[in-house]
Amino acid sequence: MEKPMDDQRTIEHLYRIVATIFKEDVTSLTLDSGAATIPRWDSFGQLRLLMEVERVFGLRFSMAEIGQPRTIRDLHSLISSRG
Amino acid sequence: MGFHEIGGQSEMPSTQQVIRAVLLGSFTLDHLPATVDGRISGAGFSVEWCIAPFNQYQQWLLDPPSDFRRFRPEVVFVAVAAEDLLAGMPTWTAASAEREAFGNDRTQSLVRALEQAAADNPNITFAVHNLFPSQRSSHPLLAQKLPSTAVKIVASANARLCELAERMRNVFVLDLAGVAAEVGLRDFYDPRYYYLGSIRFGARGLEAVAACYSRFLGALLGKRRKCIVVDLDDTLWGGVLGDLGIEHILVGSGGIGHAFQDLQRVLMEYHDTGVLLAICSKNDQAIAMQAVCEHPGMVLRPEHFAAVRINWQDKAANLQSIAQELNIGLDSLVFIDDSAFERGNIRFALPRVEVVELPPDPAEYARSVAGLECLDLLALTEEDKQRNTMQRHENERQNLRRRTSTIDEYLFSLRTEAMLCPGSRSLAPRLAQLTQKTNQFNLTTRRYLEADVLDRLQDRAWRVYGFHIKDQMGESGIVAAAFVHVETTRARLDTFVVSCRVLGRGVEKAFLAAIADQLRAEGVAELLGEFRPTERNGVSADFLASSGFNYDHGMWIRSVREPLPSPTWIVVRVLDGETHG
Repeated sequence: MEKPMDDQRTIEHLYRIVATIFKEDVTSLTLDSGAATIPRWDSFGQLRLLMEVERVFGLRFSMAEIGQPRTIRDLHSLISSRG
Repeated sequence: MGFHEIGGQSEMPSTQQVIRAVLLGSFTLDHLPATVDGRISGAGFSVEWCIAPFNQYQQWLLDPPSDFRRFRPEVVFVAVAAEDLLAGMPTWTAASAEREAFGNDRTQSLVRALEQAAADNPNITFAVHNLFPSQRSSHPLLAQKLPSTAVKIVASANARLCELAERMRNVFVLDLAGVAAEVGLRDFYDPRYYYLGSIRFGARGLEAVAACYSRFLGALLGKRRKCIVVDLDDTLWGGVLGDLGIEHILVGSGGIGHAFQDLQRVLMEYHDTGVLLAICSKNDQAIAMQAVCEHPGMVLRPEHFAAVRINWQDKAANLQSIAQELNIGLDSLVFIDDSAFERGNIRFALPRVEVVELPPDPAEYARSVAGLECLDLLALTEEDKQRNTMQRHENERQNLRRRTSTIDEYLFSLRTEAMLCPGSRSLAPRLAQLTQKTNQFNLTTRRYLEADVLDRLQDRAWRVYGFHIKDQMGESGIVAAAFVHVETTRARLDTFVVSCRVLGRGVEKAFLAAIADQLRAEGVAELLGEFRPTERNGVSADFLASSGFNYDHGMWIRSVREPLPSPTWIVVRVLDGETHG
């Protein structure tokens, strides 16, 4: 399990997770990539993504939080808020 | 949500076996395939998935849409949650008879749909989840006390699913209740993801279910390993024999010794289902074998081991020599050793050997060796039950070979009797197993499932044969299989495999000659052969040429108008009717 030690590592992990789950090219991702720019990031994709983020970072979000993040930047702030 | 497929054959290397699987369920399963794929990567096969829209499993079982038919699934997984099956169940205020009728009705609808689907599609293997309540009962005490509670309906539904699996050859039950219990229901079922997206497996549940699927698919394809190699000191017994002496090693019915005895019991269960056992230990051979032979706490005795390497040499070299002696590949071995150094050594030197990560405390040994995925089975054949006895006979044969001066004298002294067995329903599991597991003497390496064999048995253009061998040492069972496609006066040898256990005795020639006799009797004049080279089947590369086939226009061809040469030391008979057990 990875602790969100510093921002850069957290962001790199997020890029990797998003790229794997949504079969995206990791180099094409930015902090603003999200549901609006990634076709497979639909409502089900949102759940898969959050499940994987929870697993990798060892976190547990509430139902309300699971639905919120719509971009990689949102995800990063959600994780940082738990730092 | 519509019909969709995930993955595709185009990405797979061509030598890999691809299995087509449909997922039917009462809840969202879309995240399962990727997790299963992750687990089976490197297992020599892959899955092409098709996920049915959720909660349409009844329709898909009873009246499958054309998409389903076009996909031609080989496996159908049926994942129904107890809560979905029993949704709308009469509550505590209802009479128990009313609850019972409701439970019966719902259970019946699932069992009947499965039964009909399995009967209508004998070529498809159905794997159904058993049921378990994923939420706590509001009244856990009453649930056990009163008649026809949800808990009791679930228990009786599970009994009926198992009964169906006993009755229908192509129905299997996946013990999800057991999987959930092992993970712990709190981790297995994650209410958040269920409420948000009808997902009934949380992250840990998902991993466990994927493991269960991968176990099932591996067993279906016959990817079972053949031999467990175990260490002695601190593995089969506690302590170092050389330091302690036989009286002081720990193995017995009490205390720490009990843990070692339990590991031995698990190994014995593998032995009894056809896994060979072998010893590989750094020890003094005479003293170590005396301990195996005489220590009162031992469950396993010398006769249970097919090969023994007790010496001070490198274990990787010993494992290679065990594989050679038993005539199996390194990818058929499982290695169990308490030493992290030895395990690392084998992982590095022989990556194809499966190394069990034995935990440091012997208390955990039995648990970590029981239920190994690479040793699981979907059917237990007579050959499995007899394999260890047969292996002992093989060792006696090798002794006889050393005692006789010429190869001819040895072959005649074996007094080999062969029986050509026309394919039958009862032979199908073994014939499928032979096509799956035989890598060396295999002309075409076409892998068949039991359902494929049954298919060919029904098809008038196909001839299916098994070859049963016994000799003065005992029975070897069905050791060879052939599938022949007949087109009037020409026949094509689609598949021809001979177990490595009987190689070097001319069995393959006798088998081919016996098949040719059968074909001639029904008017076939020419036999076409095919050799498809793989990494492993070099031993059969010359077979067609040495059996009188000529290579002509991309095809091996041979006349069968006259009898083919057959070894004089093998007496061949033909079995009439379907009498093989």
